[in-house]
Amino acid sequence: MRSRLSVRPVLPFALAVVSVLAVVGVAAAAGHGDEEKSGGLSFLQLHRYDLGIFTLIVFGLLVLILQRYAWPKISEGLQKREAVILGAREDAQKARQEAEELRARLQKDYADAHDKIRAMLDEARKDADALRAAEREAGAKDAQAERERARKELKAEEEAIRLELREYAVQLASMLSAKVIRRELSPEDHRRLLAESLAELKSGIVKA
Amino acid sequence: MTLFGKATIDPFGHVVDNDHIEIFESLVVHIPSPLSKFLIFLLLAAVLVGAAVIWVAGKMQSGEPPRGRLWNLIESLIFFVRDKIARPGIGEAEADKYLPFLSTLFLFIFVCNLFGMIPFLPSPTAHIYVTGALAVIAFFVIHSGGVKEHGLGGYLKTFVPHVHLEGPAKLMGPFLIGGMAVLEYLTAFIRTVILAVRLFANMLAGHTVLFMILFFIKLVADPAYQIDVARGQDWMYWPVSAFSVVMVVALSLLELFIAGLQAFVFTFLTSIFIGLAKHPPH
Repeated sequence: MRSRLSVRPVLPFALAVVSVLAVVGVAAAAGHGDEEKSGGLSFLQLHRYDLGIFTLIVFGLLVLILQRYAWPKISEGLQKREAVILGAREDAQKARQEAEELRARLQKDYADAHDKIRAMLDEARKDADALRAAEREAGAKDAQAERERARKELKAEEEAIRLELREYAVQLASMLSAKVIRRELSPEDHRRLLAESLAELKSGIVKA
Repeated sequence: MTLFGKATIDPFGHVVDNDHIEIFESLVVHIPSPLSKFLIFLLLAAVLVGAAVIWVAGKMQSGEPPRGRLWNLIESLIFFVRDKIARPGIGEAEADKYLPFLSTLFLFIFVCNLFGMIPFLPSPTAHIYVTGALAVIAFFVIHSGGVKEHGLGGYLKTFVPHVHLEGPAKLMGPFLIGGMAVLEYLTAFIRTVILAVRLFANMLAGHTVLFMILFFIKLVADPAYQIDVARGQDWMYWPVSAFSVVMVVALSLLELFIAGLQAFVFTFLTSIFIGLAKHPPH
């Protein structure tokens, strides 16, 4: 198709040129022969009507030749180009639509992930609060148990001291009784004995 | 040519059609009869446009995007005609049907105009019969479109205006409508004449002005043409030459723009007239 069209126009062109020259030759010979005088409107060359005929023929042939050999090809090429452009546009629109869908999906996933993270954070916060509360409660319980244990230990200590004191008091009473048995006691002796007993009791407590 | 023993100038001498191309006074290329300068350059313009469009059509057929300066240039000109001339003037739906004609018309006029920008070469569009022939072709394309759209009777009726008159003025109605219809019919022909005259006058005047500005140099320096004020004033040669050359360069740039503009105006008006013929305002 291409080679046929690139060679063929030469022939009509050549034929057109020859026919135009033949027609115009006659007209021009007549036109040239009728020269106008110089001056006035002579520059218009109104006797040269052959130029008008020649223009009609040349331009008419040019239009016909181009109608036959150029414009169908140009039209075909433009249609192909239009198809390519429309195809590319359709592809671009499709790609754009896909991208938009993908973006929407990603945005949804992102929003879901965001919600999930928020829920996880809330849960973790709740867990942390619960753990803190539980730990606080356990600590309080431990402290209470510790206090109870210390109180019990103190009570046991106190009981032990009390028993020991009672033992000393018994021993002291035994000692006093022994001494009373051995001799008569004067008030002076009472005072002395009491002081000695108290001193012994005091030292015994200190030792204990 | 001499007048009272002094050489006279013909400001249109290099712009009008003749049988030679004068490069310098000493170098003249003669064209064999019955050909003439304009005939050759009209044919050359057609060959150039034909070859360029057929070449680019072969390239475009593949549907590939344009590559290379020439391909881009020609294709952008065709698309310019489609997007800035055909579609705004005729409408999206029918513009492509007229695109081959309008593109060919634009490119042909543009190339003819550009020939005049090459020193020593003529612009065939500086002749009223050349632009007239193009306008006649445009006339037939415009009105054949209208006839095809509305039928001959229907199309002729589109020229008749609708005038709403009340009271005593109603009596004047037929005369008013008839008079306006005659004016509308005349307008169809006047538009064609104006298309031809505008392009021809612009091309002729532009090149004549360029010639005359350059001719100032001869008017002060060449004894054959020297004006009385410049006689014995040799120093005038330099400032006048500098002025002429600078002005000609500047005006040539303007002419280059006008070459494109006039091709655009001719084609654009044709496109608008086609649109009006197919979709008349009344």
